[in-house]
Amino acid sequence: MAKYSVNLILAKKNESDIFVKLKIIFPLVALGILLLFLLGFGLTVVYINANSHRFNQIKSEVSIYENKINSLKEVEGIYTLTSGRLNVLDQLMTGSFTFDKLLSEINDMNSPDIKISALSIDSKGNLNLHMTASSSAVLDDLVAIFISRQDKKLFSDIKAAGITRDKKGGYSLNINLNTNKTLLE
Amino acid sequence: MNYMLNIFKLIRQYEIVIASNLVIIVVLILANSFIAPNMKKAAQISRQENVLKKQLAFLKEKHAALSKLDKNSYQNNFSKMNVILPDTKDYVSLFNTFDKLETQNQVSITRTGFQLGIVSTSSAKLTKAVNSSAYVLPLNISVVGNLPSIQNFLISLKDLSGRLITLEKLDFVFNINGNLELNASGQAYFYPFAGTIGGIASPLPKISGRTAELLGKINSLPELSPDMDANINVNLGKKDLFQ
Repeated sequence: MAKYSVNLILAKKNESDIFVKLKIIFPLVALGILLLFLLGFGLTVVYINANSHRFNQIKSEVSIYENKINSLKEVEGIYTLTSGRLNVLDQLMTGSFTFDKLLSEINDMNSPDIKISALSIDSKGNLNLHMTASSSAVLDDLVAIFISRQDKKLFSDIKAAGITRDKKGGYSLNINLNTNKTLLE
Repeated sequence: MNYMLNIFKLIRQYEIVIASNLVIIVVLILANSFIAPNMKKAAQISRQENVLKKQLAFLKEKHAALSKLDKNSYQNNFSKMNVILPDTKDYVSLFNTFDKLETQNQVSITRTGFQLGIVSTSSAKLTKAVNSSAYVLPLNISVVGNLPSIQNFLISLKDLSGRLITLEKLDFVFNINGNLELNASGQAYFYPFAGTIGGIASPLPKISGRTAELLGKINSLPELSPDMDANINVNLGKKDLFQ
């Protein structure tokens, strides 16, 4: 009988170095990624739970303070309305005039020889006076008075018109001028 | 058949590498499905938390400010302000103001004039004041008195003791006996209440500077007297002519 031999030893396959390294690296990378995933997932769940709890706490605090403020809505209403009206009042009073300083200034010109019979003033400071002077000398004094007021910057753009002389030597005239706004306050 | 055998041989040869890649792919898919949404949710919660923290700080500040306010004091001052600047045309308070000005300043108010349509009807066109949200009631007034009383009268119009009236044009006539006759045109004002005040989250307006000074002046005004006409009995005429 012929002998048959069976070689039970498997032939060693020749593998490249790269392939051998890949057989070690890939499983390690897979294991690493799997562990990272598990860690990451766990951390996100814990973070969300913790943050949700804190978020809900802050939300309930907000709700408490909203209720407290709601209970004070009458006070808030009165305060808000007061503030609004104060602002409007302030707007109205700013730039409004009493004219009393101007009246005092004009009245200082009145004397036995100089009479002011009429006065007209508007909020822009345009002033119109109807005056009488008892003589030409008094008229000179009147002019000097106006010039001195102009030098003090109380009056400006002073114009005289309609000057008439009566039989007794007195003069009546109209004076138009602009006043300094400080006199209107 | 040989083809399939070859494929199985390849798989057997590279089974470790293939399995590892499968694990990596599955983990990446799971990460995209679970971790990415969780991270988005965490970022959203963090953003909302910051917004809520700011809101909470604002509400605490507003509550602290409101708790310090003296409600009765503000109510009193509001009533006084409503006399100075009412919410309606209220020509009655104008007449009350003129009566008070006459008495206080020793002047005689000889004539008052209003644009009747504006005062008595709601259909007239209303004008707003320049640089203000208040509505205007044009009026003119004639006053007689001596110079000091006229000056006091002019100051009183603006001293918050009654309805606020501002004058635009004044014409004076100096009488022989030393009295002045003043014919003036100007306006009174009214300011309707706001329809809404604002929600819980709206900030409180600040009263400071000139408005705080104004509030101080109003606070120092005397308290409003109760309605003097409340208890007066007015005898009405006969209901029956034959009594």
